[in-house]
Amino acid sequence: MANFTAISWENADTFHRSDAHYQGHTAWAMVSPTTGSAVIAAGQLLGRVTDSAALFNEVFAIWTQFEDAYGGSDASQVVTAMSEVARELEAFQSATKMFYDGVVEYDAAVQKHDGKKSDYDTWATDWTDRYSQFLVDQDRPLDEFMTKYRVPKLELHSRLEAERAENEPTAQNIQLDIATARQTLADTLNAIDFDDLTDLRFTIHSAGLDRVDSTEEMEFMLLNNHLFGDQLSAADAKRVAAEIDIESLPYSYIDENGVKWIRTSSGELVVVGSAMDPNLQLRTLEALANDPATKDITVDPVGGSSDTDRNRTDGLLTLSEIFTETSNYYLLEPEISGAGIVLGTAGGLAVVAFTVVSWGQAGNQHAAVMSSSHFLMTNDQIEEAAQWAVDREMTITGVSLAASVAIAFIPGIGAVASFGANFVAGNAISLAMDAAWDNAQTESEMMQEVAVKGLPNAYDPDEHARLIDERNRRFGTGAGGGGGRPMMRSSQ
Amino acid sequence: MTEFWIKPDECQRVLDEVRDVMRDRDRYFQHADSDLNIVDRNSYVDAESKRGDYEASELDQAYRQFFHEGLSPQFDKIVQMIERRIGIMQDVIDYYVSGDAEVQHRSQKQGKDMPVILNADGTAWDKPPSDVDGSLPGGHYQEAPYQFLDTNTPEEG
Repeated sequence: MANFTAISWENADTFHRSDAHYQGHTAWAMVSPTTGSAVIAAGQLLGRVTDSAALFNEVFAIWTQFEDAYGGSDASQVVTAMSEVARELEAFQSATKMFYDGVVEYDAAVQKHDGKKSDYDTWATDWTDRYSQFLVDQDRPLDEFMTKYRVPKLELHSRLEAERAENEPTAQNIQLDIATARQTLADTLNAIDFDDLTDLRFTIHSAGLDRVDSTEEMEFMLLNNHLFGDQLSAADAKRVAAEIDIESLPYSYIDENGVKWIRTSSGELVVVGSAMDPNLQLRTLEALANDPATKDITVDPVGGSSDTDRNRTDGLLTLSEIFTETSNYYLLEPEISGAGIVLGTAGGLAVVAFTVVSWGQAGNQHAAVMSSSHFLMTNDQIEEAAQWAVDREMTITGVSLAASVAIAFIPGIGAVASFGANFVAGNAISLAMDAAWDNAQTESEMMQEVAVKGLPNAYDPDEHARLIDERNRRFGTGAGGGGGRPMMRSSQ
Repeated sequence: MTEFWIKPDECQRVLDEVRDVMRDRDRYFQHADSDLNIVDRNSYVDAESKRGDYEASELDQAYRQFFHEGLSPQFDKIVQMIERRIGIMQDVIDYYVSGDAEVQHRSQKQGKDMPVILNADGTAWDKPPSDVDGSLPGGHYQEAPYQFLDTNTPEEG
């Protein structure tokens, strides 16, 4: 699509030097392009597309009601008539995310040089003066030269050259990085192919594929949930399960085999009635919160074993409190209208249990995201998810990061925590970051929210920057994915 | 006895609900092209690039190209696909409500496939008007006017 020509810099030689700057003795530092407006524009476009997609998803959800209205010989075709449209909608959204990601990465690549020019120019001006003077003085007799400089000519020349070699790359890199970022952006835009983006994103996690079909199976799922299953009695589970109408769970897509799928806020399709079904989770949580015997069950927000994880001292949360907080996400979009499609993320759950601590960074992060988003998952399912992330990382990078990164989960904004996970695992993980989209929070807004909540350690800008660098080093700065790597909006 | 059924009132309600939502179809996207105008032309290169204006305009063009050649047509395609399904489903409902379905099924002696027409609550519907006896004002019998679900035929965007 886009065909960018290479940038040619004014009067620049191959060393990025220009006579117009420092008499050509050293490279010059450019002012970074002003990319902020490009990011804002792309962000607004993405917002419009997301809102439009939510509207179309609502259409799909309503359309499924034909299941109860039309029983002709072609009924299944009527009910699934929107499937093809859903694929086109997938492309509509994915392409825009790719576009936005490309612009954001371009912005990040350019802005990383912000603030360098001033310091560099100070050095370059001073150095150029000294170097120019040296060029004049080097023709003076040696004793005069020694009197003035107290070092031999060759020695001084070597020092000046060494200083230049140390400092000049700062300026050279600015030009090189801008040129590279520009080409990366062009490559990203060219890679957007609407026809190739029509594949629906079905989950690969068994937790999103195995569904409960009966009240008995629901009881089993409740008793085996990884977060507080051990605190439920069989009688509790039986009573609560009876309150949940599995048959009436909304769905957004029905496949040719008659399997109903619901689209999560991250765009994944999970089987209705599975542990990853956001509506099943919400209804279950509601039933638990309304049950006198279970509403006060407490959940430890910090289930991990590392010291960092244990730094969280928010205290225990009751299921009733969790439901109140979680349902706030859902109240914005009533279940019936969007059938779960346009709901806030299921990751709105205010708790997380770091049940897995031995999977390496990507595994731990993904497990944490899954745990915080889907309390109905079993420990085995959490571990399977962690293993998937590890395998995926191995496939992508050939290595697995062994070091564990401390990232805390914050009630209501778990997206901050999963930010690192998205970067570390490259395109693999695209879960709770969508909460950032839903909340339309910029990075600075998130940080502000962190501060307001009195959790100053929950978001570490240095760690954030390190993860971005790590991610760029491993995967390059190009987008190149199928829209599966949401990124935080820039605060520019 | 046929195993098939249809609740025309319910079908119409679902369709009307879909139409209601689709009335807002342009609400979010209609001014999307205006987003492009806020992009600073200096977003692309520094002023010290040799051909600054030309090179700066490339990003601008890329934005517009993505929008006008990619995104906007895709939006239109989605809308058209949905509208097409709405239209076809309306034909389906009309086909049964008008009595044409009954006529066709009788004439072809395919009564076993003729759905039972039901009220929303599942009770029997009154006999639909039919132009078999010429009672349908201005009615024109037509064979199944819709071809809903020929999924083998690629759709035009």
